[in-house]
Amino acid sequence: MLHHDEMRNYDRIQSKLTTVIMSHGCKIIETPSFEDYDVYQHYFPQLRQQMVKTIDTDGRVLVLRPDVTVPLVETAAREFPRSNQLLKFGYVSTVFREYFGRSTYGKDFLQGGVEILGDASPECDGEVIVIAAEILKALGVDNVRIDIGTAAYTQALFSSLPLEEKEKSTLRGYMAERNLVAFGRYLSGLSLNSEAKNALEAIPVLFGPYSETLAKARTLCINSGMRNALARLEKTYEYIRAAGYADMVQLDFGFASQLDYYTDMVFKVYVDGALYDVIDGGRYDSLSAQFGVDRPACGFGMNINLLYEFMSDAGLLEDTEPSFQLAISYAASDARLIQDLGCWRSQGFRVAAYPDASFIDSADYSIHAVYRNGAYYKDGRELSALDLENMMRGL
Amino acid sequence: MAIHIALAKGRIHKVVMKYLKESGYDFPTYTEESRKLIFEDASGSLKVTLVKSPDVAVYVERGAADIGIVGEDVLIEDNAGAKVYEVLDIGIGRCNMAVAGVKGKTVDMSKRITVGTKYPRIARRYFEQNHHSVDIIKLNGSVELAPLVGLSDVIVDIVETGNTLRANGLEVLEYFMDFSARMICNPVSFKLKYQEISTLIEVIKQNEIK
Repeated sequence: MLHHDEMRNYDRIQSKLTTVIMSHGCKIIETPSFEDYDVYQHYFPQLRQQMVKTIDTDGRVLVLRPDVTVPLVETAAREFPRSNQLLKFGYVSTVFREYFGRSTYGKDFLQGGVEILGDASPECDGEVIVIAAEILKALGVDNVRIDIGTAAYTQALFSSLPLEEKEKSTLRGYMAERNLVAFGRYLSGLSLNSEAKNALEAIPVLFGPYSETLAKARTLCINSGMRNALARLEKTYEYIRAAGYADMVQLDFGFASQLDYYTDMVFKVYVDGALYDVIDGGRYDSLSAQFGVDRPACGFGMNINLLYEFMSDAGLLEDTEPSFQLAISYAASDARLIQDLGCWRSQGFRVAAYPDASFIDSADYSIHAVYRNGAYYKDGRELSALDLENMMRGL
Repeated sequence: MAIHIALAKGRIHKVVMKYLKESGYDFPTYTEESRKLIFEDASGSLKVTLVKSPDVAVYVERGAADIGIVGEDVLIEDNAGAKVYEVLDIGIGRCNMAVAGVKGKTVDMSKRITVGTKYPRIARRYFEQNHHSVDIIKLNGSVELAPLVGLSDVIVDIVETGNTLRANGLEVLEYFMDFSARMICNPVSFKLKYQEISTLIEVIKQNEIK
């Protein structure tokens, strides 16, 4: 169970997040809790085991949503079929898949995120990254590092390799896991020219500061596809620089995935001292076409539970406050007391009364008073309703 | 930035600590016999934790340690699917995984056979790849006993010299995998502390050449 102070802090994080998202014109949405198992098995085969499956009354197998992007894109394709229509969505939803941080573990977590559909420009990639940075800034998180990569760069390289599909997928698999030992060993057994081999050897460890990493990546280009991917990356970077977040950005060309889910820009956000990424996202232009509307898309998801753990470790959460500002115990309640309570509450104070036979934890209130025969007493002194109100104001 | 390294307790930690010492890292409180489990070098740039081998990848995956050194056999058997990067093959702790049976006795592989092993995952994978049906009995030690007392037809175990097998009247039927120690790395540390980690990789490579 999450307790009052945790819930309050989660609320604060969520409201700051939605404020930032909405300032970019995103509409807040929520997708259904239950989704079709087959759809997810298709798009996220790696989640097959850890998805929570249920059976509905018709005997269909459903899963508790393990992600928001797929149902969102599917719904958008159905409800907004114009492929050039710009759609900006934001959400905060529980998603049901495993996660763990340094000391937390769960089978579900709260995810916040953004999906922008219908805008294929590199500036859109930039905006998505900037939204992520703005959210962390709004939450007071410093020392943010954003690693940007491009799936198009690696895909272009692979497309011109004279290898069997099976060999490519093995290589990409090792690259995705960054299993450098197996990758190097497998690569040395393939017959490739030295240019291609150089590039393949370099990419898994090609990361670091923007300019120098980009320059290195340029020397490895063996076709125009790779050069185009870099040109696009530069435009995205220009956007981020103009928005004032360039100092957070580094490049990582080693982000690779076995699946062709991301088609271009990919990024992950790390916060100082936490050994996991709190935000990840990218451009996935081919997903919507599979639901019948060929529409580019870019977005990210943020694990709010992990961010919460980090903020708690870093002392960025707000202190607990007692749930009552004023707690009143009484021997007998009457209309006067009920009216006073109503009056205080309508002014935004957190107050409650309870019979004096009940025990109340002293950590739960700031001020405690006794109500007896139409008058309030605190520490033996008689006080008016107005006195108590002024005391609450002074808290 | 200091880096934190988790070593598998046993032969791996002894060899790696020797490498580190020879390369100039000084651990004032470390001796091979010490019961302490955490050591810091004098310059404060390296922190070493000794943990049980199946736990190395857990520490690294969760970021309690930046890097870890552990046998590949353990990674396959106990830590399949751990989100860590395997960054270096270290020559120490080389050993073979083998199928062994009672000396002179032929095992009819066309029938369903029973296998005693400490490594059920590795054993199952091997037999499945070779299209044999097997029942696997997970044992925790003295695996050589199993075929002798009729608990299993064969065993799957790590063989270094073969002395234990011979002493118990067993022989290797087939070697099928060789293992060495691996350096694994937390995905985020790999990037944030790449310089320090590269230095450490060089240190270990240099010692291996010697």
